[in-house]
Amino acid sequence: MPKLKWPGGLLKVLILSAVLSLTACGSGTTTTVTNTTTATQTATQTTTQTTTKTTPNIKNPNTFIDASLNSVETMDLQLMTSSATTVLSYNAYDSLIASNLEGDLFPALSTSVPTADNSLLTTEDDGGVRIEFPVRQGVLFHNGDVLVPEDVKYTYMRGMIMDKFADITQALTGTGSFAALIEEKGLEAAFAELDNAIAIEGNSVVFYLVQPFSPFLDIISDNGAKFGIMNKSWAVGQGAWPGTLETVEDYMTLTDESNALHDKMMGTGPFMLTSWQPGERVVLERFDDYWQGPAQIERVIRQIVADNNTAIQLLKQGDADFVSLSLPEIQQVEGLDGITVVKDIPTAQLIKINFNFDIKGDKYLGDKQLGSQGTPADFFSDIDVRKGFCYAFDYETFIDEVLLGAGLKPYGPVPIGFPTSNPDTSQYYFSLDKAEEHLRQAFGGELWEKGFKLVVHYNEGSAHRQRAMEILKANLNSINPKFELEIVSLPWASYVGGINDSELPLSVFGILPTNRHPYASLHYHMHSGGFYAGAEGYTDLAVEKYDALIDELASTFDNARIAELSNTLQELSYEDALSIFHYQVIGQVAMRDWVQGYEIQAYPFFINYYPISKGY
Amino acid sequence: MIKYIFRRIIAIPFILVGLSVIIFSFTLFLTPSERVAVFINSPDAFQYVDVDELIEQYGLDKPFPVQYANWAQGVLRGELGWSTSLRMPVSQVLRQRIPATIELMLLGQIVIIVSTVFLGTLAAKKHNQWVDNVIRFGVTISSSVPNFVIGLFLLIIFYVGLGWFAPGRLGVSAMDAVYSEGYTIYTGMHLVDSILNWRLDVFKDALSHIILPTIAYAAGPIAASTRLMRSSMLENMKRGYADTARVIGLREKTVIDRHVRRNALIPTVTFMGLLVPVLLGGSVIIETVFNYPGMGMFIVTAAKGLDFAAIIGASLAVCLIIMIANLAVDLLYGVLNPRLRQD
Repeated sequence: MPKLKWPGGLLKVLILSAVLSLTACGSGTTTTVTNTTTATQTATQTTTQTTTKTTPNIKNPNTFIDASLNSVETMDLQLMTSSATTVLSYNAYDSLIASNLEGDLFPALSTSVPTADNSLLTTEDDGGVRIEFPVRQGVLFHNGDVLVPEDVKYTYMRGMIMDKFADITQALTGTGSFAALIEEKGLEAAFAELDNAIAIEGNSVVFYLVQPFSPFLDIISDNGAKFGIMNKSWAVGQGAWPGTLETVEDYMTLTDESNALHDKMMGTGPFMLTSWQPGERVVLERFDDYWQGPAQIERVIRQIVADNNTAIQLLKQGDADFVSLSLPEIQQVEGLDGITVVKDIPTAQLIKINFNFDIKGDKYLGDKQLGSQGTPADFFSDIDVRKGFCYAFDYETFIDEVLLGAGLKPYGPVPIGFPTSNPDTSQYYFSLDKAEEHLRQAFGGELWEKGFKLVVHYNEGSAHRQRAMEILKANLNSINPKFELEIVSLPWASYVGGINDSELPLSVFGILPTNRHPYASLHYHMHSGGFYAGAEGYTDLAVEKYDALIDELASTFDNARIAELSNTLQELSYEDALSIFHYQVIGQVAMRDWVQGYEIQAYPFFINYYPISKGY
Repeated sequence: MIKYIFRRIIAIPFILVGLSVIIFSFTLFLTPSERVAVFINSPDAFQYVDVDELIEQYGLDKPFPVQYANWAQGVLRGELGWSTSLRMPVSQVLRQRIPATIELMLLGQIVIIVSTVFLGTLAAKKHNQWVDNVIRFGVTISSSVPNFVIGLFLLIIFYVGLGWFAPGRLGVSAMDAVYSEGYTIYTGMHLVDSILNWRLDVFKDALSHIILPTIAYAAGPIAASTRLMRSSMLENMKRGYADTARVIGLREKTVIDRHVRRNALIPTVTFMGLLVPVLLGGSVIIETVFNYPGMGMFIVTAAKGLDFAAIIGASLAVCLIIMIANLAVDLLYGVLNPRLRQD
């Protein structure tokens, strides 16, 4: 056995390690001059920027590092499920038309935005609508291929056969899913219907809608996030759907592991995917032949971090350039040298406390009777119960004390700042008297006499959801001591599973519309085909009262009528007390002061990397 | 000895199968909706994800034996399933993450062994002198502080305060080098691969990233093993064979270095073997604190997302590592004690 020499051998190892380590450590003298400015970014938002001038010792000057908690689920833009991931496709792809924060539409891969005025959007004699997109010429994909109309058609066909573009399928065929269309007409006829609905005419791609569908342009103008145009020949070469009827059944249901494009991207956007180490980082590189000219920054790294404290430390040291943080977290970096903070960004995320009209299973219902031991499954089908709960929630206290002001009280299902969001919509407010009035009437007075015991949940670690339930519990109990909420925490998976299985009596979940048309949030919240009506057991109510109005809202291009219908639906949502409109999220971001060109987005972690640069 | 080792090796697959059945059976406690909840990573994700469709796709509503048989068939083909939390094959995750954790463990073990032998021997030699008292005091302190607290302090001092050792496994430029075309990944351990590729810049960067987690990782075990080594040394220094060696005229240094320390190492080696599961458990915390992408962080992510394929794969991998480590310890006994070789 080799003989170890002590202590000389150890010392040599230690000295070598120390020397190597110290040489690895960055050094540099910095002097700082502090300069604080306050700016107003938009009329609806107050932005505080603490800007500090540091010596121009910029770390990684050609690389923008975005530290994020959010891992990436896939690189296939049509299968992405979180807005935190679609930021990558947003920067690597382009859609036919683009939109800005205000909802204005712009040409992108289409040279024009179709309108009635430019005759690219016309109503046909049969009541259908023809929408033409002249495809921009000379646009290159990241591999040098030239964009052709066939790429556009392939992109939409692929999205529809996988049922990822349900709204588009609805618009083109009148049926909201390809699978349903096959059941209705058979595979061949269903495919032919889709195929005929998108035509290539010269250098244009033309969509034939069976009837007017006003959100169409808003939906597809997502700057490439989900409706980015793919390179057909490249995708087919990688093993993706070949675009033929014969193969369509094999590609209708793709899982990540069976998807040839799971870890690949090939768009026309300003950045191209270089590498993805799942759970660690994603690297995007500037595409120098981008049709709008190359981006400012050479490279972007999406660095995945285990927690925000790590992200904050990376930001402080300049090893990360950008972090999205909660309000308490942002206070840790606010005012620090070299860090710029942007606060009070109104986001599109609207959080609701949802009433389950038809609670499934018996896990959380006790003896299923009114009284001290349980609650009936149809507890929330009584409108006075729902109204009583809506009045019993203290909105202001929650926003001020739990969110520390980082939230807005919503007007209704359409997020504040979005078209047709209406401050004049009737809203519930905190009033124990009104709550008592309704709860006395519930179940014909029986509820008041017998009381109830309801098990309500929050997901582990969510202080916001927990506090919301505690506020509700305290207020209801103060109205009548027989009203008992038992608050239980669940792991995230059980929480989500419970919502999907309609087992949770109350759930705190939200709406995050992907476009600014009111159809997006109203359909999701109220339509029988949307998520909540099914999960929360009010499908019958939706069919009876809301569906026709939402369908009409989708089928008119008359903005005044859209506003009227939207207002009617928001008012109905109030009258029927479908949920407690809890709060609309306000976001905060922090970045190094050398980051230039940051544009505020409806989701704070959503960054347009194109104008970003590093410098002073 | 050879028969014993052979029996141990033969038992490994049976233990792994038993373990997989036990872990897989835990899935019965969860509803199919709960098991695909990993796809709903934010409140808005219901807009894009059809949970019922996912349940059907992954066959989660099928009976347990069918689900297990499907999974086992995949294992026989060399596939450990798909990690829904990291969105890649479990086998690929393990190939990436196991070397990271093993690198940390090996470095930690080297630090522990070197420190233990050095401090334990020194404390025994200077029994009840001030050096011994200082070591014992240090050991008491070190064993009293949890490793994540040590880790956080190290981060605060050396990264936040001094800006020296960054969290993570590699810096931006080193990671670029590692994933460049000219760089060959031989073992997945950056310290080793960087030397084999003769990229000292990567070696320095990897070393600067692994130093703090290694210290945090090793601090607790060093304390415990140093105590053990010290008492074992003291016990062996009083044994007859040590006196015999002294009587025949060997110098005290030779007696200790060549005879006493070798015998005193046997319980320490046993302890080192027992440390492997402890260190693997510790990696969950240490890797999270230092944002070090190894098995520990993977296990946390998988557990949070109820990613069963990943949990089973990681458990089997951990089990395998522990069994191999125990086997290595048994072999080491033979090296240290010739009588065991004959048995």
